[in-house]
Amino acid sequence: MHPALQKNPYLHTGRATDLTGTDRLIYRLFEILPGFLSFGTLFGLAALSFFAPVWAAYFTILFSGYWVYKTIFLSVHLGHNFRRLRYNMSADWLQKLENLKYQDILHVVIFPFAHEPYQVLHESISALANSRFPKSQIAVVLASEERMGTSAQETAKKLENEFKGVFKDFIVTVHPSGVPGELPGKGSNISYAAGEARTRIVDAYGVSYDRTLVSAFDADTVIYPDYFACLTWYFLTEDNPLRASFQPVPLYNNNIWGAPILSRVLAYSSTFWQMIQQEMPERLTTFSSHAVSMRALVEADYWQRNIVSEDSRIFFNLFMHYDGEYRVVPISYPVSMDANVSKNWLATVHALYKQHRRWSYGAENVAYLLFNFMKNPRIPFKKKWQQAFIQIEGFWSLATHPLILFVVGWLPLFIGGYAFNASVLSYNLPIVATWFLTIAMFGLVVSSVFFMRLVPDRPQVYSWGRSVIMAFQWILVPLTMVIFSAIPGLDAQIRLMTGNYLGFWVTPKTRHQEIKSKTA
Amino acid sequence: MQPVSMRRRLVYLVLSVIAFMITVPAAVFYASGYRLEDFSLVETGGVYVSVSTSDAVVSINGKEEGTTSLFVRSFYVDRLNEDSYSVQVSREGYYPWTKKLHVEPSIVTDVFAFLIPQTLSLREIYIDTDEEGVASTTRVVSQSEYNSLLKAFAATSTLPSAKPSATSTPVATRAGVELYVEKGNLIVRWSRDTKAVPSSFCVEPSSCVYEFFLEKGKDTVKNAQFFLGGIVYATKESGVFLAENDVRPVPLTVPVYSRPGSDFRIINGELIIKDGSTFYEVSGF
Repeated sequence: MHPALQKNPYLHTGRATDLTGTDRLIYRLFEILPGFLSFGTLFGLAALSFFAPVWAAYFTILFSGYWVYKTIFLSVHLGHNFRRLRYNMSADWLQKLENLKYQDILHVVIFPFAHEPYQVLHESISALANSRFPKSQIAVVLASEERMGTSAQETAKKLENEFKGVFKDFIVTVHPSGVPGELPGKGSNISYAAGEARTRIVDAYGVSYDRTLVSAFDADTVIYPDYFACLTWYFLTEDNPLRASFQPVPLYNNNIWGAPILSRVLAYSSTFWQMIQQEMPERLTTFSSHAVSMRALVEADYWQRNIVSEDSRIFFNLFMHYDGEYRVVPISYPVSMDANVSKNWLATVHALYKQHRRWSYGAENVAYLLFNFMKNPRIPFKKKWQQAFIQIEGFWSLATHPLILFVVGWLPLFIGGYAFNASVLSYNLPIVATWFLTIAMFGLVVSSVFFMRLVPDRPQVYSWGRSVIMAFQWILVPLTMVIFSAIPGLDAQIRLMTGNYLGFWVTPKTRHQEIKSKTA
Repeated sequence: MQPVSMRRRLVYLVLSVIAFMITVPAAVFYASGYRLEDFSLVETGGVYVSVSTSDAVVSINGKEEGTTSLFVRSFYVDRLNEDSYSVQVSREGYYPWTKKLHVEPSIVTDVFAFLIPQTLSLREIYIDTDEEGVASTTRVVSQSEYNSLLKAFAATSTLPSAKPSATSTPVATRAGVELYVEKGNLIVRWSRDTKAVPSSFCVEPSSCVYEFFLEKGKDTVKNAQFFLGGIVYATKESGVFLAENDVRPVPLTVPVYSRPGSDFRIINGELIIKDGSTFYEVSGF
């Protein structure tokens, strides 16, 4: 057994069924908790609207007001991060590294892939080859899946032949299928790849685990030229960097001009949320593409192999393993990824829903956190409380707030009864709530301004009309909040509540040559 | 550059909380109908006036609140102290509509202004025998349509006997409001939840009735139906009338066809009057 699991046998617990007896029951209750809170809130408000509509109306007004100040508060943070992002993108990070000892740093970059086409991976690795950071300090791991068949292996082989010699090393790993205890997906694949990279690259070259940074990318992660210089600078200047993960900002710029409007809005909503989180490091967890030291990975036995949301779970794994002495460092430097595009509009909507349900399924971390907090007395109570609150509140608000704002909050008007409907409060509720929501539209204006400044220049194949649509697309946010945040959030929480656990679903990466645009 | 410092974030948070604590309670009080008057909070009520037509001017106590249009057919006036208010709705060519409404704290008194044109058109209905010479004041129908009219007036007549008698079944029902013709009087009754009585049954918001007489007097009502936003009824002595369905003063009732013995039916949404053996279509609403 891995030493980390000897120290904490619950470190890689994936779900209640991994446990027995009382532990299983407790974990099960923790899995039910997010859904219980969300549905309790929504049904509670519906009941309040029927039995005490006046109080429900007061709540709606208070909540609308809260939403306004939350929007302003978050927009201020977004603005600050925007400035930081622009500053970091314009800085000469290689020059900043000159006074630091970075020549012994090795970057192992893992590209896990399933059925993504050659073109997507080629663009990602090409961007790596164009990095200003010395390629002799970058090793590439192309992590394929045995279950994806020979075509995936052929793609990997083709890329290996193409880029062999460009980097310090370039290896292809084939994650075997059907390993007991594993959930087929990204987590099990990159864990296998990281183990292979450790022996075939890091150990083979005799590089210290303390000086090796592992970047877990997606197949479509395209870096900007100074990314690794920037990452290295943060790693070298951070206090105790082996107790930290490093989080860039995902910009979905690879195909943003060709993506459907819903994809654009949702992709950049995600970007803006990550940018806001970058200004609140205590709330930040690892998401999508991120970097972590090989030392930490080896000590915690890599990414968890039996869950869906391995990207955020690795942070909690390490947080538990190091008894709360672990954090995420926001580097406020972007990587570019694909907005969700499928073969047609309907397929894209379907894919967007599934992608957001998978992200929302991060609510599985709540049970993991609470259970491990219960089992680990070495983590300070304050840290436990803070993390638990952030995670529970996060998934609760994701699933409930859009519905409260746009659906449940208005229920008193429909089920409040005759007496309420004849009251001044009933007549004024929509007026006052609309005031607040109109003011909150300020947040959409902010989003539009930052979006237009972050996307690449408009490719010539698109007319100026598309730019206009892109500026006004944010009007769809109330719709996307309900359909692609609240509903998939509740869907994910129902699955956790009922034990109908979600499997890993690979987001399709379809990119049309004609709509491909250069990154900014 | 570093992330926003904790200190600055705390300042943002405190400012947000202070702004929330000031504005949101104020919004709650506003929404509940409170207003500041001489440094004390006064609980107010409101009036909600909906109008049946566009281009009508709505005034409260002589102060014009607005004009209805194709898209705006109602006005909500809030922050009114407890008192009686005179609501006027006027439009050229229509009977002036006035209602005295009592406003109570925290309650909205709603009213529907049913405007009735001063001039209605009567078109005599003929059987289609020869189209030549048909005037614009007449309407030609086929023999079968004419027969339908005859049948409608023969089959569903509520004409009471010479000695009016009470009836236990309503002559018409709409959204919980029932019309009864009892002893030659026209009664409007609320048939649903007594806690949900429409404001048209309430002299004051807190003083409602469950029934009221729309016509009680020397005339003998023989038929009544809902028509448009009001009630049309016929009396034996005075002909056909159109009235609004509201107990509050001043009820508006206007004659549509003032010939004793005439009767009416609502056929396919149209008001048809029968006088003797002659049928008229009433239009111009």
